[in-house]
Amino acid sequence: MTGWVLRRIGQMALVLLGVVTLAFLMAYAVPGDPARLIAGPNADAATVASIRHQLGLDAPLWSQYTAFLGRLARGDLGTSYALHGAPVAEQLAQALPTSALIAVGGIVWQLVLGVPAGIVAAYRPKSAADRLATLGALIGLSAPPFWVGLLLLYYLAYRFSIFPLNGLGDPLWWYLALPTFTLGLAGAAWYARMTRAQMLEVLRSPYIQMARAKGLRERTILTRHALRNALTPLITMIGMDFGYFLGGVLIIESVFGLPGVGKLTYDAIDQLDVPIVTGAVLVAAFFVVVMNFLVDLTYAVVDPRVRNRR
Amino acid sequence: MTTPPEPPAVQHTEPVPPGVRDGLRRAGRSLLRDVPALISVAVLVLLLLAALLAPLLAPHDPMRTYAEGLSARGAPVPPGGDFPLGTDPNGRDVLSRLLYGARVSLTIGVVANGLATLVGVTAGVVAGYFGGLVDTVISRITDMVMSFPILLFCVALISVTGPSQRNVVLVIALVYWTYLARVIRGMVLSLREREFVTATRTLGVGDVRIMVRHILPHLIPAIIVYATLGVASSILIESSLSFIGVGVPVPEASWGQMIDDGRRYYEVAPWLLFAPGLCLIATVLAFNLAGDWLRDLLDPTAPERR
Amino acid sequence: MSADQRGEREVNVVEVEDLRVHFSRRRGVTVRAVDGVSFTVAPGETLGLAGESGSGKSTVARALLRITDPAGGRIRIGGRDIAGLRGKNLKTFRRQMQMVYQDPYDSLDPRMKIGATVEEALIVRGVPARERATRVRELLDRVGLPSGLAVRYPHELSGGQRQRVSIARALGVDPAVIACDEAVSALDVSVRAQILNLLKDLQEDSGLAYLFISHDLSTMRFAADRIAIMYLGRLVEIGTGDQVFGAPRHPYTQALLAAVPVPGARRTGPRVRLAGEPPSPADPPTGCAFHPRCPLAEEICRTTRPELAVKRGGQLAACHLAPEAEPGPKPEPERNPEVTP
Repeated sequence: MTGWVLRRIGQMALVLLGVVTLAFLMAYAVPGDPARLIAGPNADAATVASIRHQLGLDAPLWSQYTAFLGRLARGDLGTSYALHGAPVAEQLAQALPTSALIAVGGIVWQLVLGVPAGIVAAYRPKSAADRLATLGALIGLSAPPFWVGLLLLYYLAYRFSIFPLNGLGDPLWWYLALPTFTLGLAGAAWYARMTRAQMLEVLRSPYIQMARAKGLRERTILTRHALRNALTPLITMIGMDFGYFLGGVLIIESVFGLPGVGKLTYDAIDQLDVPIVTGAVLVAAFFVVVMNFLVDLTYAVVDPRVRNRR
Repeated sequence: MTTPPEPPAVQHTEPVPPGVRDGLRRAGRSLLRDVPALISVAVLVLLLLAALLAPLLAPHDPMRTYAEGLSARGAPVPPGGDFPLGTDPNGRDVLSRLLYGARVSLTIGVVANGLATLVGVTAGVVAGYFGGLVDTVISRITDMVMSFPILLFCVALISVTGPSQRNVVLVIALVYWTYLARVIRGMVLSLREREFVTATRTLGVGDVRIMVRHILPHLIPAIIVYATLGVASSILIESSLSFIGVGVPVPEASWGQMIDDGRRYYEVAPWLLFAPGLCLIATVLAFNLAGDWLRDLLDPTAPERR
Repeated sequence: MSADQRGEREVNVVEVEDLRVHFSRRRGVTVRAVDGVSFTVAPGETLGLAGESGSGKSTVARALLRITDPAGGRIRIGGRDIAGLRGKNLKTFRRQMQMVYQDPYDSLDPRMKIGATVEEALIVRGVPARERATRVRELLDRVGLPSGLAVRYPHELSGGQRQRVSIARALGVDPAVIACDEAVSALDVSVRAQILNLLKDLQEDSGLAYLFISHDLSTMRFAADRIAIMYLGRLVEIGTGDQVFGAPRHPYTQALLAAVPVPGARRTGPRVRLAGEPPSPADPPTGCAFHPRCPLAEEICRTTRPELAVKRGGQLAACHLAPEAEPGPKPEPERNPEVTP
């Protein structure tokens, strides 16, 4: 077990290093010159050069890379180009709680909407309820979140004034209801499909048929036996969803005007503030990788077969 | 993300008779029984026609600002009259922009996915077939790319490289190949253990020929399904990028960017949201439905994807 | 019969010496799936390799075809050591030896037409394109299939027809040896006889050698000239069909024969019943690997591993308790003089 954990940690470290390297390459090695972009189209060569020097962009790529790694190791994500040299880590730390709240809210919505829909659909396959849930899930997967968000804003906040238009206020959950719903919708559709598939799989398995043969009530079979086995693999995916949702807040926060990582990134894109964008990407990827590891770890503790799989 | 397969996988039963003509006949029959699939295919055909014939169908120049396209107070003109679907805040004709936007969405979706499919299938087949170091390297690369939330990653890449239609295509392909590569690799891992592959290898047939003639044909159904579903999500990503402002640059029309234009005026001009949004959801839904239908038709054992 | 008596057949087409195949499992456990096996096959001869599942008989064939890499020993096919071949040389060697597989439903590519499957063998051999169609027809004809089947897909064929296609494909590269790994086990009894007869006819026509692997002793009795019995990765008995079936010397062989009625086989010695499962090859018993299941086992069986030796009747068997060959005029030893411990 210890050996497995160590090897898995090694793998995780490797993937993290790769993620960091990818982010670095993206920010500094990709064609496109932040200095020129910052200086503007009318700046002369000397200005651009001095900006480039200021940002450390004239150093060789390799030394930029090691410097980047060194800063990261100290938790330093660099300084913002646009926000008067504000440390990126500080900016992100300020914005993260709001985004984390939205992400958690989105996860709650996706479970509350998706899992029951999947169970209902699987309970009577090919029934009207199943068809409705399946089509609904597909529509949910196909709807662009920014458009759904805008529609909700238009009807529920603007036309009928049920919900607040934008920003945060008191009570918080009231202000977060629409954004988190929008964020969770596509995930709910996804979970509905997954739950349905898992349930069908489990309901076909021999031990469920055995339970039926023993004359157990259908509800007991469903709740006691099928649900637990079908949902376990799904619940473990939630960990990673948190990281992915930190990416999803980009659109949600911009639509609903919420001051989180997404809004920070959205504004940074406009100002070509590469360090902020890179920082946000890194934070989200970090969550995905670490959560992925924790999920694997949980599995390995529960199910020894996982450890022997490669 | 690895996900459990939808129906149970029954090995070695391949009821699909591989003839093309036979397959088409089967497809036609199945389509007539499946109403949502039939509608989705019809929508896709209409969409393709709209995109191809945009110059003929569009009543106006999609990029031109018309003086009569703005009210006296400078607001967009509501649907009706000279502008069937109204105008946007710049006084451009919404219908014409929708038609040209279909071109952009379809082109980007199809080209980006074609690239991703090409790279993903090649990488997946090579990794799965050879295993060992090649496999490790390819698998770790896909792990890394898949660690990034798709949209955020694309946004970051484009914000650095600069928005252009070409960059949108490249960035989407750069991210999407990993998903296909992972699925294909898994399929090849089990295919390569099949007895007919061993038999072919012991015949003295070379690796390349085995991959092309014996492995690839078994992947075609899955590739068709994934490519179809992939176009749906590529179009969604493209529209999101354009909505954020790092997608297709103005004044070129794109549905996502039209929604972005409209959001500032939704109180006074809600048609700016509805028209492109409905087109977008109809297109993506049609691709998803068609993909699901193809999955049932061609490859009932294909796993779910995200 | 010894090699020189056969005149033109100077060399055995297959010579296997001390073959070892190991599979490493997790935690550094090594499974000796094949542990020091030696035998030869002469041109035009059929050597049967029998044993329970897990005895390593299929692994022997897979090592000979280099599907699995051997861990040690020598494999000479057509006089050439093939154990270390790589790349182009390996591809060329592969034409020497072919295999007909167990599962007729999986050994042909379901997405390839029969004609194309057989043609692939000809492409490998470098037969020019314009001759291939004729040659495919000839090959199908040789295995008793109408040439019209060339445009069919495997799922349209019966199990027996598919095995015929497999044989045609193997013949396509003009091999000297064909390994038949449970090639008829999945077939109906009547079809099985047809395929066995086809194999015999082909052998008479072209002097093919077969390595015939099966767990089914009655098939073996019919098909094989000589029989080798495997147990836990080792040969326990090897001799002609008459020797092994008529007067088995190893208790394991006796037990196998007692379990099934084999035409022409006579029971000798005490009646032996097989009890329990064969032990795991990952953790083989000490001494004679068969001793935990052997009703005759004595102390020596638990401590010392018996080697193959000539026993009464002339065959080789690896058993401490089997009666040695009578002294005096030595019976014609089994035709494999190199087989020594």
